[in-house]
Amino acid sequence: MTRTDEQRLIRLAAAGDKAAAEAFIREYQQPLFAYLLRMCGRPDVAEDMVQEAFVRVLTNLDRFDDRFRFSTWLFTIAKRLYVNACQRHKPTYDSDVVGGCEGGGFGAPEASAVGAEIHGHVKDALQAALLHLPAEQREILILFHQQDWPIALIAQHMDMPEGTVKSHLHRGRRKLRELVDANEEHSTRVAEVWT
Amino acid sequence: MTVGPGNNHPPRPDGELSAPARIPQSLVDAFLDGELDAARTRQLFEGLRADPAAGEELAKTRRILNGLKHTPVPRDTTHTVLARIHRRRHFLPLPLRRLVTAGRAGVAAVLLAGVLGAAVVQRVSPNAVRFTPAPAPIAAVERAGSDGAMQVRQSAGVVVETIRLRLAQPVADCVAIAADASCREPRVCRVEREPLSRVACGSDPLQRDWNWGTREIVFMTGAGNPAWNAAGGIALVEPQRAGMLPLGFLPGGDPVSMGRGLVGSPDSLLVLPAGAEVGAAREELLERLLRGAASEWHDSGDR
Repeated sequence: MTRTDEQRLIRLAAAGDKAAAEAFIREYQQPLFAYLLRMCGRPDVAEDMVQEAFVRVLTNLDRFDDRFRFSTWLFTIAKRLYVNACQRHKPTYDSDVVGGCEGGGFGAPEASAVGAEIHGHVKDALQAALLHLPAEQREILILFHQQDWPIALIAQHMDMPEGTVKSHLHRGRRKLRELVDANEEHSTRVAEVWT
Repeated sequence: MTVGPGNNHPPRPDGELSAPARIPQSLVDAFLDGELDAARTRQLFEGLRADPAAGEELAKTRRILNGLKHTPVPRDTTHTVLARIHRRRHFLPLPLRRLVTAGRAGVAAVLLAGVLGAAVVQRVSPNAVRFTPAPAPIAAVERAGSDGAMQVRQSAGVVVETIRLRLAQPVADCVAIAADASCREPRVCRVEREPLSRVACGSDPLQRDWNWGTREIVFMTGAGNPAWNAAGGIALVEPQRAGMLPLGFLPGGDPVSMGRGLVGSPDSLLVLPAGAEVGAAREELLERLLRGAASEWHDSGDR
C-alpha cells in the first residue's frame, strides 16, 4: 500500500467508511498477528491483541498524525497492548516464570522445546529461544527479520538511537543462535538417552 | 559460528561469533543487516568459500532468522473487528456521530448539573429537595407544642397532651404486634401478632371499628389517677375518640395492661414500661415512629 493510498484510506475510514477500515484490517492483520505471536508465543493472546489494536486504531483515526506511517502507529498500539497484557499476566512469584515478562510473560518461556511442548504454549524451538531473549532484543529481531522494517523505522518505533538498535540486533541474533543451538543439543541428548 | 555441533571454530571469549579470521564479525553482521555493498559482499563470499564450516554456520543463522517469518495464518478477524467498531457507531456519518456524541455529552451534563444543583439546594435548604420521604424532625413537634398547638385535656385528673400526625398509610389492614407482660423496656416488641385495634382499644368495644387513617399520639403526663401514673404511656387513638381516651384506653383499670402504653406504626409497636417517664421516652418514640410510617405532621389546629 503506497503512502498516498494509505492517507486516502485513512481519511475515508476516519469519516466512517467501512470498506476503508476493512482494507486496513485485511492489509495488516497477518503481519500484526505474526509480530504479536512471536512476541508473546500465544496464538490466542495474539489474536485478541490484534483485534483490540485494530479497534483502537480505527476508532481513533482522527488523532492519527500523518507524518507517520499507519503501520508504525498500529504496531505501537499493539506493543502497548502487549506490554499491558504482559503486566496483567505477570506471575505472582518470581519462580513461576523464568525471566518474567522479559522472557515472554505469558506463562511458559520454556528452557527446552520438550518442556515447551508439555505446556502447549510454545510449539517450536525457535519460539522457545525467542522468548528467552530480552524483550527489546526480541522485538528488534522480529521487526527487522520478520517485518523487514529498516533500522531507522525501528529506532523511531523503539524510541532509541539507531546505533543502539543495531547493537541490540547483533546481540540478539547471537543470543538467539546460541539458544537454538543449545536447544538442539539438549534435544539430541534426550534422543540419545531414549534410543 | 557459535558453540554447537558442527562448529569448527572455537568460541571467542567475548561471545562473538567465532568466524574465521578471514571473515570479520562486522562483515557477517553487515551482511545479515543487508548493508553490504557489492565489493564487500564479494569479499564475504570469497571468505566463505575458503571456509565451508563458516559458510554452513552463516546459512544456519539465516535459516533461523527466516524462521521468524513462518507463523500460522491467523483466523480472519475482519468481521469481528468491524462489528466491534460498528457497535461504537463508528460507521455513522461523521456529522451524525458528532451529534450522538454531543447528545450524550449533553444528557450527561444535564444529569450532572441536576445532581449538583440538588446537592447545593439540599445543603442550603435541607427541606427544599427531598428524594425520599424524610422523617419530620422531632424539633418540629416540640415547636408545635410551644406554639400552643399542643392541646391539653384534663380528664379524670389526668393531663393529656395531644399531637396529631398522619400516617403514610392506613394501618387497618396491617397486623400490629402486641406486647405481653415481658416487655418492660421501651422497645419494639414482636411477641404476638394481633390486629392493632385489639391492642389499642383494650376492652372498649366502641373503639374496635376505628377508621385507621389518621392517628394521634397522646402523651399522658398527668397525675391523679394512680393507674394513669403507672401507665405513663402513649396511646394511638382516633382523633374523634380522644375525649373518650381515658375510658377507652384503660382496659378495666388493669395496671399491668396499662403499663404498656402503645404507639403503632404499620409494622411496629413500641412498648413503654409501666411508670416510665413519658418525657424521656417521647423523643425516642417519635423518632421511631417517624422513621416508620409518619409522613406528615400537622398541629392540632387542623382538627
